[in-house]
Amino acid sequence: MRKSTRKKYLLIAVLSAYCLLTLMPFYILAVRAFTPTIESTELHLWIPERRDLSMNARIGDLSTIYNVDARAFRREMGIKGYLNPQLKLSQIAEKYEIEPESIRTYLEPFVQYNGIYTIVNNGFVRSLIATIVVTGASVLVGALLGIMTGSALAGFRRRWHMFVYNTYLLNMIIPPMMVILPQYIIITRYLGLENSLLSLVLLHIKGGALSTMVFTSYIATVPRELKESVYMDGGKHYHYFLYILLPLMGTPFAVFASITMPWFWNDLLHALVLLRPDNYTLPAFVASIGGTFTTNFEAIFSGVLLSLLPILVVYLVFQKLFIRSAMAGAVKG
Amino acid sequence: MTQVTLTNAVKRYGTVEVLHGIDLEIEANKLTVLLGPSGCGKSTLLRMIAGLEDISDGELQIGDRIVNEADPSERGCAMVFQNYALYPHQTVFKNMAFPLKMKGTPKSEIETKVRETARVLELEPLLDRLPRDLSGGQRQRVAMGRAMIRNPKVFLFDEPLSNLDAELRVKMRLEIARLQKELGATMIFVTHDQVEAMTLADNVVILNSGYVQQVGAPLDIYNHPANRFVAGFIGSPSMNFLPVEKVENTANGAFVHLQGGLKATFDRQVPQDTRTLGVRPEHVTVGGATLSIPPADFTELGAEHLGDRAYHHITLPFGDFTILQAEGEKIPSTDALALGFAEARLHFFDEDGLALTGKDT
Repeated sequence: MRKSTRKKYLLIAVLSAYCLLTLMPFYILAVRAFTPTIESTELHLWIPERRDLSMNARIGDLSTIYNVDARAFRREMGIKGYLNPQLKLSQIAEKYEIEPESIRTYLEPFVQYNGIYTIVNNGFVRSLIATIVVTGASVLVGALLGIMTGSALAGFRRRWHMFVYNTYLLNMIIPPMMVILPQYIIITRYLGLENSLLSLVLLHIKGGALSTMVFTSYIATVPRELKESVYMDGGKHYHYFLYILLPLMGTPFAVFASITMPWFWNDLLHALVLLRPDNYTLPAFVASIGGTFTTNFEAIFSGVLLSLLPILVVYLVFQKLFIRSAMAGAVKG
Repeated sequence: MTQVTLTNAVKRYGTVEVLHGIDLEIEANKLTVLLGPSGCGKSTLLRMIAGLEDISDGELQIGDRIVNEADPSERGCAMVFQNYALYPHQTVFKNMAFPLKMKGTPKSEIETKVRETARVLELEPLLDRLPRDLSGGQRQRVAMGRAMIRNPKVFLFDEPLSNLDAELRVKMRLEIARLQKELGATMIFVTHDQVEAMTLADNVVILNSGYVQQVGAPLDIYNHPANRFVAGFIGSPSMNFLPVEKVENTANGAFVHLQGGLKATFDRQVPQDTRTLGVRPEHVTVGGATLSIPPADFTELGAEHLGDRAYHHITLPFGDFTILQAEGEKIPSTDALALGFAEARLHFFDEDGLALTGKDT
C-alpha cells in the first residue's frame, strides 16, 4: 500500500518533469517575445524590466533597433524635408518646435512592446488571414479528397487499387525540396497561379498520401452492410457518402487534421518560393522581418508566438476529438 | 401475395461458379428458411434476391416482375443484416426514418409512421437513443423496424439472430414468427442454425455447395431426408450412418451385412440397393435385437450429459456411433452390446447418397 503510493507519486513527478521539459521552449519563446533586441544576447527566464524612452536616443538608432519608420514619424510629427538620423529626440523637439510629449507618445509603444507592435503594424493580420484560409482550405479539401479516394480504395478489392495506393505512397518519399522547382514551373507557367494562395492549397492537397492512408484504413473498418443497407433503403451511392460515410469520418479527420494542420500552418518554403511579400503567409512573413544588416529579434519572436496562438486555440477547442483519434482502434467504439 | 421465383439462377465469381442453376419457388406469405453449412451459398442467394449481387445467369422473379436488372430499392425487398447495419451516428428515430426520407416522404408522415412502427416493436422509449446505447436485442428490433417501415413485399433476413445470446435468440425467434403472422409478408430467412430453421420455418430450403438439396416443411425434411447430406445435416447430434456391404432379404425380414463383419437383423424388407443405412440416435435402444456387437468391437468414447438424457458416443469397426439414452442408463462395457433400431424410422441411401423410399419396402 505505502509502496504503491510512493510509486504513484514518483510516476506523477517524472511525468510532470517530462511535461515541463516539453513546454520549456514555448515558455522561453514567450519570454523572448517581450525581451528587447538589445538584451537578446542574455539568457532571460523572465520578462526583463523595460527602460523608458530616453529623449537622448537618436532617431536613426530607434529606426534600426525598433523598426520605427522614419518617414511615418516625419509625417506624423509634421517635419518637412530631410531628417538627420543623428539627431537626438530632444534636439528634434527643439529644432522643429514639437512638444516632447507628443514625440514620446508616438514612440513609446515602439519601445514598450516593440515586438507585437512591429508585427501588427507590418501586416500580421493580413498574413494571419492568408494562413487561416490556406490551412483551412487545405485541410478540408484534402480530407474530402482523402475520403473520396478512401471510399473507392477501401479494402483493396481490385489489383489496381493497390497500384493507385502505392503511387500515392511513392509521393511521400520524394523530398518536397527536390520537386520545388518543377512545381514552381508548373504552377507559374502552366497554371498561371503566380503569387496566389490557391497555389499553396494545390500543393498541400496534391497526391495526398497521408489522407489516403488514414481514410482508406478507417473506411475499411466501416461495415460493408451500411452501404448495402442504404441501397436497400432506396438510397444511391451519394446518399451513402453524404449521410452515412461523411458523418462517420470524425475520428480519421481528427487524425488527419492533427498531423497536417501544423505542416500547412508552418509551411515556410513553399510560401517563400511561390508568393510575393504582399501575400505572405505567417512563417514567410515572420522570416521576412529579419533585415539584412540588423534583425529585430523581439519582433521575430513575437511573430512566432502570435502565429502559434491561433493553432493552439484550435488544438484546445478540438482537444476532445484529437484525444478520441488517439484512442481510435484501442477500444471498440 | 408476392412469391419469389428463381429459374436456373447461377452465380459466378470470375470463373468460379458458386451457385449452380438454382430452381426455387418461394411461396408467398410464408416464412422460408435457407439452411446450409457455411459456404454453401445461402447468403449469396439471398443477396442476389436483394439485388446486392448480380445474377450471372438465369432469372429472378419477384411477384410477377422479372427483376434481374432492377435496383435493390425497386425490388420491394427489405433486409435485416447479421450485424444489423444500423447507422451508428443516427438515433433510433432517424435510423427508422431513413428509408422514408430516401423515398421523399413528408416529415409529418415520417413522424407518425415511425411512431407507429416503434409502438409495434416496443421501441417507443428508445427513439432518441443512439445504436451504441442499445442492447443486442433492441438493435435487432430497430433493424426490423427499419425494414418494416416501407411495407416491403418481401423481407430478407441474413442470419439476424446469430449475434444474440441463446435466451434472446429464442425470444426474437418468437417475435419474428409473430411479426410474420401479423404482417403476412413473404419472408426469407438465412441461417446455419437448424434449430432456428426447424422452429421458425414454414418451408426449409437446404443448400449445400451451391445446389439445392431439398425443399419442404421442417418435419418432412426431418422425417424423410432426400439424401445423405440432408439426413446428416438435420438433427443434432447427426444421424448414424452404417456402411452396408450386402443386403439379404428373406421372406419375413432381412439381414444387412455391415462393413467390419457385423450383421444387422430386421423384421422388415430392406431395399436391395442400399449402400448406407441411416438411423438417428433417438431411434436406437440399448438391449434390442437388431445388432449385437461383441465387446472387442466397440469402445465408448464419452458421453454428453444434458440432464434428462445423455448422448453416448461409441466407436464401431466402421466408424463412430451415437446413442441417445435416458440419464443414468449405461453402455455395458464387458458384455456384448445389443442395439435395437426403430424399424419404421430407418433411412436407406444408395450409392449416390440418394434416399431409397424406405417407407414401403
